[in-house]
Amino acid sequence: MLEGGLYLAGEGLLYKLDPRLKIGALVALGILITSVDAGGLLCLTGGIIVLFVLNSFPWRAFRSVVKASIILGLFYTLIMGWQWEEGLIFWQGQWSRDGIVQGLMMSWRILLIFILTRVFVAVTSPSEQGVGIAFFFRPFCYLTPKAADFALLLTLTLRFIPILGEEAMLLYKARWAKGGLAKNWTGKIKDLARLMLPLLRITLRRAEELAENLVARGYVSGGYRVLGFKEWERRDSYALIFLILWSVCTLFMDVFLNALY
Amino acid sequence: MKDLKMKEIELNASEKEIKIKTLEGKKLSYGLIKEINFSLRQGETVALMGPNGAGKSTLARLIAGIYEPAGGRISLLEEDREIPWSAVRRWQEIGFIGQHPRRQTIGATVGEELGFGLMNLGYPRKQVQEKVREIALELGLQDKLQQSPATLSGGERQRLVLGAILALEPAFLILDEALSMLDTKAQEACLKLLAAKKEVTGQLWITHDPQLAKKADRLWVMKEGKLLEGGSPQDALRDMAFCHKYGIRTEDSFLDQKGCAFESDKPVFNAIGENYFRVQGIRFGDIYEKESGLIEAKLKESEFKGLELKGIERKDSMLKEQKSSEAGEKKIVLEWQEAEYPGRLQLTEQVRAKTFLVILGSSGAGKSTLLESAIGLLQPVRGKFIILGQELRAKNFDLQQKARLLLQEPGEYILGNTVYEEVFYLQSKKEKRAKAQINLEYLQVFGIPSSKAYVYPEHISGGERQQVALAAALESLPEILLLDEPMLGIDAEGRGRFQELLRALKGRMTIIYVTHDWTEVSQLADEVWLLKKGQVAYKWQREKEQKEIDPELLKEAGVRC
Repeated sequence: MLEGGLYLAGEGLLYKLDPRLKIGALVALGILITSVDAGGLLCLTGGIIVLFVLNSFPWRAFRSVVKASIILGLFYTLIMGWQWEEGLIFWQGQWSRDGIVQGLMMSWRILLIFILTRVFVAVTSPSEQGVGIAFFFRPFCYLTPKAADFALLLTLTLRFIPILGEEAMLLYKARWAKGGLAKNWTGKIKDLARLMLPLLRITLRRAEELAENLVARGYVSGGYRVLGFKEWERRDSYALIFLILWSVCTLFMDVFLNALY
Repeated sequence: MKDLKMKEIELNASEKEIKIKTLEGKKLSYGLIKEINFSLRQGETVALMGPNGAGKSTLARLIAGIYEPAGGRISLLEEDREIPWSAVRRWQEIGFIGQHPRRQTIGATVGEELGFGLMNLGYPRKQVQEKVREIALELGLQDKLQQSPATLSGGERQRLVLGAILALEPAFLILDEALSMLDTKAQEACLKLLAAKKEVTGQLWITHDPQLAKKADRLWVMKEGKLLEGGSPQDALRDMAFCHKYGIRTEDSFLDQKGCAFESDKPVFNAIGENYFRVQGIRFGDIYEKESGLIEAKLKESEFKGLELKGIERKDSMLKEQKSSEAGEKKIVLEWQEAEYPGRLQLTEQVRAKTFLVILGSSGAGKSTLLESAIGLLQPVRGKFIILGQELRAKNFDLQQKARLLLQEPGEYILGNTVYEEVFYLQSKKEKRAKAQINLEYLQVFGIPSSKAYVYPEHISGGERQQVALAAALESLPEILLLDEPMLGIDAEGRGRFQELLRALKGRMTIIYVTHDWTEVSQLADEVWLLKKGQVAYKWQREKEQKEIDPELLKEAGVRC
């Protein structure tokens, strides 16, 4: 349950890759998505489709992400597309082709970033994410011990949120076990509101236990060092080469199409 | 620089020259604990027993260095040399393990969990990795180094925590009811690990379990913040008067037919069952007088005018039940028809009214899932689940009201802001005020005095919180009572009171009792289901079977007997 949520259990290639590589790839592709134009975006979209085909993700898991992207994109396109000159009132404006194109490009970017992030959390468990994030904080730890604390804080948060989810579920069960459940919406909202205080109490208790556990293992501020057991494998190297080629190809396509049109 | 220092550190303890260490406490005070003295030596195992709220966990945290003593002092002696408490690297010298395996892991992966402390000690990464692989092999977790601890079973997780603490090679180890939630197989695996470290660690086991305590070298007993040296646990736990005096369980302290927890003839728990029905009779209109055949007469005389709807509904159903039982049949209250649930539970079973059904099985067998299915928290993905003759569907709230569930560790999940609010959670403010007197009387049935009715749940002991949760579960006179390991972490008095209550409830409501300790309910069970991998692997019915359940069968399933 703790590893559940957005993570989709599976055996595909993306699951087996080193979490450090996955985090690095997410950052690199994110930067590319926000900086390239149509040509580059086309190449990135093609790559993401290949990833989908190779891993055969269930469409259902991405439904909400696509919905959110469409709504956000539509809103953005409308805002960008409807323009009015200075001194005029909102309804005196007109549709702008450039504005709509700009809005659609932004919608495309939003969609790709949402899908890419969803793919990342679908194939990387929270624990792996923690290990990967802590790895990238290592260089900063040489500069200040606070970076180690921050890395621990981030990784603990990743682990603490699912614990809280589990505790919230147990509180809900406790409420269910009492019976007298509300049938209408107002009653349901009232019921939920009554659970907030116990949830806060239990959160504080769990945080205290976490602190006790850290003390029991000798944690001192600034002392966090990540301990990974995943060795860098040949497939990680191949994946890294693929990522580099994909990025170069994206940049090339972007420059090529920009020069063409 | 750090690495240079690290190279000087030798990870293998067997090569160290062992100097015997002793932990000593003198006139130690903190909260409830008043001026206690103790001495715990490396190489010995001490069991600490005592009633709930005696101060055992507080003492454990004081010794572990989590709390600072308010008075007196603790010191660590190495041979005869005293090391000042402030100079002791407490977390390295004293390992502390709590009750719940789920809440004690820090590492993102099993590997990180085992190596977290070693990394904090400053060992080089490579050396830690090697050591962790070695420990994982000992624990049988070598293939799970990259898995999250959350994916492990309860038993594996507690072994993992134990392994992570033992990796630091502490001189002392404190287990605060650390083995109580485990089934016998998981407990044995942990005890094996502890036995391997017995010579080099001083171990303090806080427990309510006499079988476990008997494995220790010495017994300490705590009551009301005072610590008493109990000598040999094997001898002390045979002394009924001693156990009675200090409120600790013995292996033979289950209630006899007279409702006494100990050898004395005096009923200890002041007839909790009788009081429960008396008070509920007043609250819901004497519905239990049906047992003496008075209900029909009273109904005719319209003595029940103005009773609460809940009471009248319950009365009607009881009258129907009475007629059907007179006809020699017990109606089916719960029925799973080829029902399949997420988490591998598959059931095709029936439960008849007023049966005391015990569900046994090891951790992860599907016991709690079964209870959740019975209360409607889980819907079958295939097949049907029928409660009181009607199929239970997601939005059928009325049917879900028929059963009440007492969760595992219910004291942890109290929803009310005060004890009173928790027990009478469903009453409106107006009702709570109007019924204050009878409500307080109801609380007293469960040993909750009026003075504690309006306190915050955090301000009462764990055992008292358990009583509060039980009172809340029984408040509405449920037709079906579902209990998920209700005796975990309860002291002798609490267990005795609870068993007395169960004895009184038996035959008056349908009870489903989940446990991995058969001794808790062996005298009360009408029917037993032994669950294995989400299926009923064995069934036993008292009225049909000639023989008792084969203990070997239970042992093999990790059930204590």
